[in-house]
Amino acid sequence: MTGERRGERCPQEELAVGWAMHSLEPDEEARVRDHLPGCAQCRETVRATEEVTAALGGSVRQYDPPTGLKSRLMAEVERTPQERVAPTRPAAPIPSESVPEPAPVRLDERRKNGIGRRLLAAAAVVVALAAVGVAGVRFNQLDDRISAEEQRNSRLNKALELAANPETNRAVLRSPSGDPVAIMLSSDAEAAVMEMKLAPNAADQTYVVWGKSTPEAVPLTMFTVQPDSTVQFVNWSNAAHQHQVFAISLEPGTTMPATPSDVVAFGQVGNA
Amino acid sequence: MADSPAPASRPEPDGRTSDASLVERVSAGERGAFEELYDRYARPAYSLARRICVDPGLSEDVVQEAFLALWRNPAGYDRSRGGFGTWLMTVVHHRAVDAVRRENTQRRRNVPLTDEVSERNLTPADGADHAALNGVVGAEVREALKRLPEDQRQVIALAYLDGYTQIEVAALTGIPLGTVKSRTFAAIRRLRISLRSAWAGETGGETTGAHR
Repeated sequence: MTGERRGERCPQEELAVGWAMHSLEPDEEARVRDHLPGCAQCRETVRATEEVTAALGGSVRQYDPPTGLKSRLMAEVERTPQERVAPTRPAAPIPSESVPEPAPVRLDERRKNGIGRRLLAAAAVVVALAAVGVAGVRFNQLDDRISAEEQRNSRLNKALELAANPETNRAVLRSPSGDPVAIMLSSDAEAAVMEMKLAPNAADQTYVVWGKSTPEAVPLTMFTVQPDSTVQFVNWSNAAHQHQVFAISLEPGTTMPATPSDVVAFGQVGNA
Repeated sequence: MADSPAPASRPEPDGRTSDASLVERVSAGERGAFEELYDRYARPAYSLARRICVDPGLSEDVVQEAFLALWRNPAGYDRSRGGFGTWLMTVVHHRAVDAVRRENTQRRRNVPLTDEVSERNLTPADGADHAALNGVVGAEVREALKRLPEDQRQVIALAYLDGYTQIEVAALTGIPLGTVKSRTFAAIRRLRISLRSAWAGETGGETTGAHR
């Protein structure tokens, strides 16, 4: 990772950096978790990345811990038994190459909370962005578009409320090549599609959301994408909310077909 | 467990017991060794949690849970994989990010990373002045960050310190996801090179604590 390594780079190296920074989506995390035991190079990348990020983390503004924290912690220690199972680490990987192997990364302790965490909706980010006005972003529009922007911000705020609801399911929908295309937010009463990379549809086309938790894909709702749109609220039902896997297709015409023709994205609810 | 013989402490050149020895003693159930590790690392750990979580109560929970995880399973730290400080800060970061995502609380917005680091109070707390997590390292990190292009600093700040996922960073900045990934990778690689040469210069190649 430092540039002096000879030979081929592992194509998963960028993901390994994201993994070490805990900044991947659950599906990518799972992919790296499966990959690491067999790849010494990526394990080294994780280790090197953690060194750097720990230094960054140790360099932020310093605060003294609350005075009572230590005594509370020590009281908790008295109530907490230690695990006596000697080797609690995952079994060492069997290296295919005969290089000296570092011990395996700590997959057990670090990741067990991460897998189940929910994706924070990108809606929150976009709303914050619109409000804070961070430079170089998509809401920096001309004056004559302020009204359209206000409408959109109101939609975004609504999306933020939906995203903040702990009952809301979130799914990152990806293209067949793995690129994130949209984020689906689903509650029992309403749902929204956060667009990330959906092309605007033609006037005689419609995007359709499919539920794929059933043997046959079920058409759930439809929506359109305008050039500047970011989030669409869609007609929804409790039955639609029961699905854990969603897909989006682009369909000719303006009604929902019985089966999808051109699936552009699919994904699973991320709170497994 | 109390009758397990404690491994002999191995003092470091400055006479301190090494972190790794203390962890071994924690494995034997020694409260004193655990307290010593707490005293060494509570301040940087809490500070990182505060930076990510903002909320003091949530930050305290994160630090308590991170140390309790060490108590429950000291073997979770594997010294062959690096310094104890690196491990602990990684655990704290991970838990803090999980907490802030779970709580969906307000996060600090994108403060320019070098400004933030330069705000740092460089007076080390008594007992917490160990290893990477004190004095001189702040200056090294600040220097290393200064040498990063602004766009790389931004993705590092959003992903690591604000706890956003890479997809969220892409949505936030309008930068394509692939670019977010490659910039993150490039930034870490540059920081690694800068910091490693700084650390080597400082210690003559010997590294301690979070440096390993």
